[in-house]
Amino acid sequence: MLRNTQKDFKDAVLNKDFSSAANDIKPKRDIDPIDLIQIHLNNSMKSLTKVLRSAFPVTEQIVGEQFFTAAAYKFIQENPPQSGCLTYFGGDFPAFLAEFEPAKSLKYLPDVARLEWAWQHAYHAVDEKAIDLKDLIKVDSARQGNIHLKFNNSITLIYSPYAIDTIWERHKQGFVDEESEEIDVEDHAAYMMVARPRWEVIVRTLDVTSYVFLEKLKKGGSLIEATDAALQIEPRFNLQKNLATFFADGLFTHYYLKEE
Amino acid sequence: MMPHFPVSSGRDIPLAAGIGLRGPHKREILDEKPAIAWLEVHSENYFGGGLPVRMLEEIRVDYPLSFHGVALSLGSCDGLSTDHLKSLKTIVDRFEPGLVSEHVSWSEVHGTHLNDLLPLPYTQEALDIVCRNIHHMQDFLGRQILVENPSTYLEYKHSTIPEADFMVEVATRTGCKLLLDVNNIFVSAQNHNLDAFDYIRKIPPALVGEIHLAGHSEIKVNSRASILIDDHGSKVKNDVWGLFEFTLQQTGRVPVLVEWDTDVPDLQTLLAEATTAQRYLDNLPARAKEKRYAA
Repeated sequence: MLRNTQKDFKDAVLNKDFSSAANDIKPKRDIDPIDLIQIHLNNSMKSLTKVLRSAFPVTEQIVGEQFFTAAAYKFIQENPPQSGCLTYFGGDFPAFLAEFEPAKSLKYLPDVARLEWAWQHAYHAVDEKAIDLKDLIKVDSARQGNIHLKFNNSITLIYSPYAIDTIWERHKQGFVDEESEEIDVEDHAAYMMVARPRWEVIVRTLDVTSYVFLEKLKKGGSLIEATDAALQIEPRFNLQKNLATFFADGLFTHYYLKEE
Repeated sequence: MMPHFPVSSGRDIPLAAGIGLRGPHKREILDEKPAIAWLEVHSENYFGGGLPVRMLEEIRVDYPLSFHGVALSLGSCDGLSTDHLKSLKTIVDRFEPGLVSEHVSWSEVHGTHLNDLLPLPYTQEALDIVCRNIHHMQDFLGRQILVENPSTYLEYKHSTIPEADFMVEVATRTGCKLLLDVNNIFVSAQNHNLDAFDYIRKIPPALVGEIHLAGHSEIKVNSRASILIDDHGSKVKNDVWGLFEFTLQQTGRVPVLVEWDTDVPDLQTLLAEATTAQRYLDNLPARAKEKRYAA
């Protein structure tokens, strides 16, 4: 049955269990069937590793090509793609790296990978139209605090206790080698936003209050709730300035008022 | 009765030689608008939004487009992914490509995508499954598709149908057309000691809607044996040009496409390959050129 043939092949490619699949192959003079299946195994592994490599270039720079390839192979074997649309393949790679024993000493690595995935996600996100700050004026001023905002689907907010913004920026400019100025990964925590409301991907380090404000809104909080959360950290939080910036970025696609 | 689908909803693909559109060439094509008869893209690269889709919108203004799928897995016994079909339909409706094609191979089983065009055993069961999936795809898109013959490195013990017969049967049963990959036929024939010319003779010309050309390479499997690999990483080999010429004599003028996917060269090198292919088309005797319409 075709199902068995395909299942056997999958076991060979992902688990290197060649026994059943090899039995299905017509013998060739001078060639072991396993060597033929191996060609397909290589195609799968190499092409999927290439997908990861292009999504996580900075991660690869940090750990080196050999290390990255080994990590990618293990990741693919344990988390093979479930869809032929490979722009969505790799979202679990940062979490995998966090548990990947050989990478454990690089504590900031999974966060750098999360930042790279956020970029990848934003780049391919479905296009959406942004609303204008002026649209909010239509709302009766007494109810404006109750406004909720829907975020453009490309947006990811990332917090890391490590200076992943500096790490990412420096590696992006070119290969960081022994002669480069050392990056103090514990210099600061990073509060970041990655988004693509228009054509270019925005990668921005936010101050902590703006981050908390956006995070609260994104989780479904109202304008007033988000402002309160920010004010608790910084009493001088400037709502107008923040709203103006984020609307100018085009971060929001809808607004709505929840029943009071 | 077999449903009748419109062949194309958008700009028709000319009976001429085009090239596969690859990332490194996009900017140059947009800026300089070189003369290219038509372009083929891998459908899955445009399932999202953003720049890839916007650039394709710009490109389609000047060039006829063909969508070539590499990941739908027509040979899956589990049927086709509805999400994949929906994404494909979205871009087919938006871009109205002149041709939509896929492969007679499989990539997915039990929800796992192996990301390779894996060969099928050529059996009645596989034939039924592929035909069912092609029917599903054509019904979903509301149009005719083309299916490409794979390049194969191995054969299954339990195959009972020669590949050429399998392909013809698929097209006859589903009303789809064949995308004859001449390089794949050459590679498979060499690997399995078969006659590539015989393969082509078996294909009724009227079923052929497109021809693919690409480069291949040879790898040593061990000290005694080697295998041809369809890696799309070099110029079309001389033997393949010969087989292509023979194929055109059978089919008459059809759209021809040169693919180059690994070690992608500069655009001029790729266009030179398309120019060579075009010369073969132009050199067809008048009778062969007309053959297509008589068939």
